[in-house]
Amino acid sequence: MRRVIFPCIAALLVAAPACVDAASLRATLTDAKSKPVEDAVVSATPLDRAKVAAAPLNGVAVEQKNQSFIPYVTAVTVGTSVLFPNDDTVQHHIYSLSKPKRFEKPLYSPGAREAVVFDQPGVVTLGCNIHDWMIAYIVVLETPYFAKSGDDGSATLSNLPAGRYRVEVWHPLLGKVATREVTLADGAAASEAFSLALKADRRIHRAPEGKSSGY
Amino acid sequence: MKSCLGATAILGTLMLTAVAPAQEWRMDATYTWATNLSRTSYAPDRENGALYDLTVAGAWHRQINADWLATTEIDATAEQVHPFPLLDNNSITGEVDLRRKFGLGPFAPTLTFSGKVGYVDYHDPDRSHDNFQLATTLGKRLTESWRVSATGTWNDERASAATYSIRNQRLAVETAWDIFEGCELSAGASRWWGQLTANANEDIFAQAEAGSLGPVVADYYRSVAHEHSNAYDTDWLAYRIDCRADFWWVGASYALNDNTSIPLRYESAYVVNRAQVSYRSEFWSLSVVHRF
Repeated sequence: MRRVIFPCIAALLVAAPACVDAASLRATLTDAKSKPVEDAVVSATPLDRAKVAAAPLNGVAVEQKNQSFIPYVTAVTVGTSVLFPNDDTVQHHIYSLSKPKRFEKPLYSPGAREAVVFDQPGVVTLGCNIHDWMIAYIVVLETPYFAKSGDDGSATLSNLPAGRYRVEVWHPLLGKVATREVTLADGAAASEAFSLALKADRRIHRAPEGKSSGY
Repeated sequence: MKSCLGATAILGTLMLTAVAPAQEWRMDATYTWATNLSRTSYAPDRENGALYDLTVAGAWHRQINADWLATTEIDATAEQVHPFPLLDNNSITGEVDLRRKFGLGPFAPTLTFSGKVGYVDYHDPDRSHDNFQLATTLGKRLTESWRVSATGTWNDERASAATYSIRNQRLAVETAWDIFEGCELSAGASRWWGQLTANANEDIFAQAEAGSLGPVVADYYRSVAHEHSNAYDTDWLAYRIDCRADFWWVGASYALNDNTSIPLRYESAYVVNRAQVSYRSEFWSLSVVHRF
């Protein structure tokens, strides 16, 4: 009998944290003109317990199509392998000069599908050395709690255990990461509003240019 | 024979593009209003005109290695000149560019070598010519929105008539600034040395030859290649000058989207021939450029 009860108690103790209702956090992001901010990455890092090891994600891809990177912003966890399919009709030369991951893939012809593992946290800026206007960002995170804002400017982080968190908001046009401390109760559906001071979007001109008078 | 040279070069370019994997098509419709289109020194005789251009161009890009990019382009243009139909022309040009980029990223400087071969078929057959051009461009982007470039060009136009066979060299600097998303301002200047074809009323030219503008001008005008031309009127002639020409231009281009833009451009040319006789021409142009 004792042999049966002890494993059951042990099993209940192990299972107990999973029975606690997870909290969620909905971040609403607006710019100085109160317009929703898309493509921002909101992440939450626990402050009052050990870091949770974030597993690498599967099936993440940054496509090259119509001489653009799609999507513009991608958030992944450390160790994630990102595929770069060239679904365009032209060659590309993908590169990154960012400290967390420096790499380049020259002679990247249509149909190429190579992957790169992002093994250090930070923001990686992608470019194409042939088409200077092509730009995209990969945000590599150590925490498993993150989300990217959609066109309505909201990002929802779910399955957060109760506790204190440092919530960070990153966006390509944000000069400095916006940070806030948030405390979440069991099962809470919290919401936080962020008003972001974004810089002007100064992307490289892509449209075709005219020609001279042909004198 | 000369047109065969142009056609052969274009055929070679076409064959090269057939094996290249990438392609991009572009169409350009331009209206230009030109003052002193006739390139005439004697102010009362200057003729203005309107030019209507339609260009279709196909470009093929191929990266040779991490640093070098080859671009091959075929460009076909139809131009109507109002009210001077003898100046109407069709042209086809093949161009190969080799671009060396010194490093990664948009701020890396680039050095581009270009070779261009073309044929321009005028309604006035004497003006039809093969065109050969070599150019080198050094470009640098200073910020996301500001870039500069300098270009040296050697240009050779070979017509059946000496008057229209010209050779000149050009140095140009240009800068472009994206003032806000979708709107770009550009400005540039160039100096040309070499030959151009100008036009004059035969009476005025005869007076210059006779010494009405002094012995230096008379000697010079007697020495230049010239021939009768009905392009601007029945009693006109065209003549080839050795000259120095200064150009400057400003432009504004508004992008409707990533592939379509509307450039507006003003260009001024000031030409001084070896006998110090000068003329000025101006061009206002509005285009619609679309990349497919």
